[in-house]
Amino acid sequence: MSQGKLVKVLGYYIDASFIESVIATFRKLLIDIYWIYGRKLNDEGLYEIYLLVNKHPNLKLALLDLSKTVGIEEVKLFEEFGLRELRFCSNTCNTVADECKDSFVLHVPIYSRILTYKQGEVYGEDIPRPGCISRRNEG
Amino acid sequence: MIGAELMVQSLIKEGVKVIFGIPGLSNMKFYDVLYDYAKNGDIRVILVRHEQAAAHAADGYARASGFPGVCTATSGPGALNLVTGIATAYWDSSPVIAITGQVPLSSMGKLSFQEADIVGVTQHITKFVIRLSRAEDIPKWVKNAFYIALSGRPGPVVIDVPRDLWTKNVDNISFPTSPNIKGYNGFRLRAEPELVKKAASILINAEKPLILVGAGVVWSGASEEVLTLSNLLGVPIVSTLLGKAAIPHDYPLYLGMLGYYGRAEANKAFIESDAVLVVGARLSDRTLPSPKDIESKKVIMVNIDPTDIEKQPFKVEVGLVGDAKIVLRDLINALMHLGVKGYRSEWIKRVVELKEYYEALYYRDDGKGLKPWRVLKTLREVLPRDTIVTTGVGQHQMWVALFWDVLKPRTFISSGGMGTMGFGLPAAIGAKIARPESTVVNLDGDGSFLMTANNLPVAVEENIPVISVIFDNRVLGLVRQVQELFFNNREIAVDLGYKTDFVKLAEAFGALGFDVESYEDLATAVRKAMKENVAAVIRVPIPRDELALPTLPPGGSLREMITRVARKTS
Ligand SMILES: Cc1ncc(C[n+]2csc(CCOP(=O)(O)OP(=O)(O)O)c2C)c(N)n1
Repeated sequence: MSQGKLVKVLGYYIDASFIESVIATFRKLLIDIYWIYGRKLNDEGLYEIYLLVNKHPNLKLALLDLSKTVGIEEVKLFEEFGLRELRFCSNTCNTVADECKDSFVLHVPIYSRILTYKQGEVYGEDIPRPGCISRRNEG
Repeated sequence: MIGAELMVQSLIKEGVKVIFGIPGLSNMKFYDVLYDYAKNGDIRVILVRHEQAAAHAADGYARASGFPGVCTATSGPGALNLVTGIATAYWDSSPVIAITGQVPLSSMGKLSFQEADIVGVTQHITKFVIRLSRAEDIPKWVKNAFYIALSGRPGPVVIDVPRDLWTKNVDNISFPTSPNIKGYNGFRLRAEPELVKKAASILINAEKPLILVGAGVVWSGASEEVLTLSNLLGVPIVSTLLGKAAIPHDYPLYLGMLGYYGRAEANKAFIESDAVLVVGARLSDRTLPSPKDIESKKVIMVNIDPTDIEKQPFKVEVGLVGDAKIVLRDLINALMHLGVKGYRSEWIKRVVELKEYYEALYYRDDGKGLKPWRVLKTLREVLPRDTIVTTGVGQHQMWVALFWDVLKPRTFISSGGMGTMGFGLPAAIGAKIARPESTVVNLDGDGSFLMTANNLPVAVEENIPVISVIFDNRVLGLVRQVQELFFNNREIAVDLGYKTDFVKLAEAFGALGFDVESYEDLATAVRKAMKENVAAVIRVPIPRDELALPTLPPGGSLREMITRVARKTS
């Protein structure tokens, strides 16, 4: 799983079919999704979805297809990234817990290079990377 | 104003003149509003006999006119019957707009009567689908739907309308004047000048360049630019199946369709070429069965959809993202600026040689039955230059691809990407409504025709005089061919029997029926059908074992093209 590829999709939610269409783009191209995290960002319906997907020869095609899907603003592939794992204990007031039965995990991406896919075209960008990364994941 | 009225007015504002469909519980109020508009002649409502035909007819209308075709169906079975037609339009980038009725909002998701999750079902076979939840949104989404369907790479859009919205009263009505879709900006139209220059210099320096045109040239209306470019540089042209509609075949440097069932000279020229300018073609596995065939060439791709360039498994030397017409104009200007080198006489000589060699191979007649190529030559001689031809899917489609000479752009309509049998007749009906001044002929297989022949009464009752010419080999010919050639003659489930009487079938529906036995009969029947100007069916007997060649072995490349088959004579 640590060999996955991290993807961020930014698009506009009309109904939940928006999420379905993102997920199905990977499904149709035989790409597995390890985890998914998403939320609505504003009243305009802007929505972000992070996905860790498996490394697959079809990935580029999936990202290109997604980026030209009606309603999707852009898709980012984190080329060089690490994930900082934050573990919370559910249903307690403790914010961080190392050990608990029912934990809620967040993966915070830390990255230094992003490829942006927009309307079927790809743009690369280098980003200064903070030094706090514990684990590199460049899949 | 109620939702149904908003829908009809929105469609009329977009320029819709005809809707193909069938009414039912969930689009009843829509039809009820259409009643007055149809009576006043503002819109024509065509009742098909199966919703699949509504989608194909809308598709045929779109491909013949360049303007989106509209179809409608009730919820559940009606909408589900549209599915094959919608997928067919999507695979061939055709702008079809489907308006489906849906069960009321409060009944959705509850296994209600005639409920089908049309958003779920069509999400992956449309460019866009939306289920409306407010009647006031109707004008906005109709406007958006037309923009989405026609802009960039065209494609079908579904608008799913819950039944309660049709009758909902809307007070503050506003019809938008421009589309507004978040997260959809369309593709760019003009390629970067530096890249255009680079492409021009590749073309100038190539020794054996070739132009490959696809359906994008048709949608962008770039036929003239392709011909100018070909003339300017002395570059031969080949096409995809759908790209046939872009190039007048009497242009001397046009070599025909490339690909799995392509013309041998087109395939050979492609193999021998050193640079290829691909315009508006996505290079499907039918056009380019193996990337091996292109790997050593310098490839320039012009496409409105950048993903078609990015996703190729071979190196694209220059990708020109933009509208074919605009990009080609820029390319022509760049060539003029750089100075064109002059005619490539060796290459042209070679191409002409290939053409002559293979023509001698195709145009043979052993006198046993009617030869498909001669049937098509006969038809070409009798039919006007601007005749629009549609097809089913099978050997007959490949014969048309090989031997039918398209003489005007947008006059060849076929299901390419989806290969949908049954497409021919309804697509012809749609095309005839779009272009009533043109003769429209459906060149069909007997198997394909029977899939949607129940729509013959649509042509008869609605006075849509399309002619169907049936290549009647009494067999699912293309499947039989594959069984013969690649499954060791183990023919199964392909024979259609000898009892079906196409003349009686035509007459039963009120169409003219002709049985022909010779090329002269065929010419006479076509002339008569055109003169009578009514729906007609002409049955042309074709020997059962006639083959559609060239072909490739399964998984083969263009180099493995089979042009002749030796058969044992018993
Ligand atoms: C809806 C559909 N079902 C099945 C097929 C598979 N198929 C491809 S060609 C073909 C035979 C077509 O027969 P016919 O229309 O008689 O044309 P012919 O090959 O004999 O010219 C079949 C069954 C298809 N393309 N479409």
